[in-house]
Amino acid sequence: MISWTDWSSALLEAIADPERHAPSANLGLSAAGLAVYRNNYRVGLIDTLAYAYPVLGQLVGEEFFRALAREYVKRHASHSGNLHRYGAAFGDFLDSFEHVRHLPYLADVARLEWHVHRSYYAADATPPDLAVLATLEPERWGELRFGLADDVAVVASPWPIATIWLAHQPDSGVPLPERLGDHAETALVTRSAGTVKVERLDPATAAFLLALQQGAMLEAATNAALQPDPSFDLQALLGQLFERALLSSIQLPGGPS
Amino acid sequence: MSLSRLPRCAGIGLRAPHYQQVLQQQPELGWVEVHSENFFDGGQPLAMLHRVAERYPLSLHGVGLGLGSPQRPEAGHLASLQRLVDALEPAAVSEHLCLNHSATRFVNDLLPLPYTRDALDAVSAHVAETQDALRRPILLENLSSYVEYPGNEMHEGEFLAELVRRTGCGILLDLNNLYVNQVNLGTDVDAVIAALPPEAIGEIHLAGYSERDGLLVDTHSQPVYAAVWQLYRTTIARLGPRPTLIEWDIDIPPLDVLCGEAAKAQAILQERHHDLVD
Repeated sequence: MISWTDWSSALLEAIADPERHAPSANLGLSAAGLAVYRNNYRVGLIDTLAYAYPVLGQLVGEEFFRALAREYVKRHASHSGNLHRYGAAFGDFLDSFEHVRHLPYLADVARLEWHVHRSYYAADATPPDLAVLATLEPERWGELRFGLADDVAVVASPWPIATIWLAHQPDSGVPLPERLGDHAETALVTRSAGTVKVERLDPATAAFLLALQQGAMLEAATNAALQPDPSFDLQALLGQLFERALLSSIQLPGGPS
Repeated sequence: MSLSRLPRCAGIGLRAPHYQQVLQQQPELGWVEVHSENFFDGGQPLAMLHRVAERYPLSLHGVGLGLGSPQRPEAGHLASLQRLVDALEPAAVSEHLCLNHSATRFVNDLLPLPYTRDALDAVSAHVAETQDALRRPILLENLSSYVEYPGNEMHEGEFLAELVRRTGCGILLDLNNLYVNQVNLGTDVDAVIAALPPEAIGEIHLAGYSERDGLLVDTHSQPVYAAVWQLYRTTIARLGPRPTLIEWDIDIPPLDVLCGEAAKAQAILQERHHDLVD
């Protein structure tokens, strides 16, 4: 008799990876019973992706979306008992999937949707302690690192991803751009009063926030913003970021980066 | 801490489409149950749940810990559950007696495990570890199963009873699951229920199944079927009133329909209550 642990592992493989793991007779699995679990596994993960990527579903149609999701499920196993974390690499998958090469913006829209999905579930931000600023001479403030709150993300793309996303929200009143290749956009994802919001960033704010997201120090982030817009107003932007609770940490120089 | 502080009346499984409506209308419900994992990351769902918990007794029902797996429960998952339990102090916490992962694989489902003495040793340790982390007993739910380990040394009821004896956990008795197993696998429902220590049964689940290729599948997509209502009546007559939940997870109906099903369960609980008083 096969041991309980070997049987358990074999059952999991037979469900999740049917192409490589045809069950052997000693598992005693009925074909109809195994089919129920294989179907649950596939449909459950496809539904999970459909829930996380609603705009993608609208862009390509439900049937084609489910076919894409099915291919993703074949390539990407679940690694958590919490399904809300499944599907993070869908954008990367779309980049590499030849059947969507004629829709080059799709992968970036997917990356934006993933951040929207994660923002909804992200913990509430705790505002950073401004008192730490007093411990540092003002001439060294350029060495500070500001961390974005968990519900905040910045996504840059050569495609108008924010406009595409907004155009697919009910009652947004935002029309789809006529030619998708016309302009690059950087999208800001935030959550306020429970609702996730996507907005288009101007080039300087985009450069600044992307730099912060990548862990840059304040001076480097400011220099990045000054390139597209020499009149970039750091103080005004920081004021807005604090007012909207988009920052959650301030790291002093010498701290871990 | 007691197995459950849920009232001995009927409640509903609260799912995302009904969050707002329940908060606004506050229907008469004995209690509500939610899936723990939907609130692990906090954010907006957790803020909503805090408001629900101010109005109704709350049960946290986990679908992802997989205590019947050969591997220990995933540390991060258990820590998330612990944070949630600490934050909400729910009236009951439950999980499934199921397999869902190995060292290399996760299947987000509720799979049957081998009911053997070796498995019992491992699963007892997993349950104890979970209860230690949560600092409270949990209820474990029996499964609907479509396959079986060919070398079972006991049935699911005996396995659960032994877990209760070893760990002090309680039981969440799902009658739809038992009925589905009776039809699909020929499970002896009376034998399973008879094996369970009555005082350990802290909650009952009712739901509807659907039919697929000659099997009854526990889809939670339908009203409770007549045969399951009958099983519920006889079970309540045997055990006395227990907190009872209506579960509906696919093709979720309007809230009224769900509350109507809960009212049916409530009527059966009250019949029994009058019997007791008479």
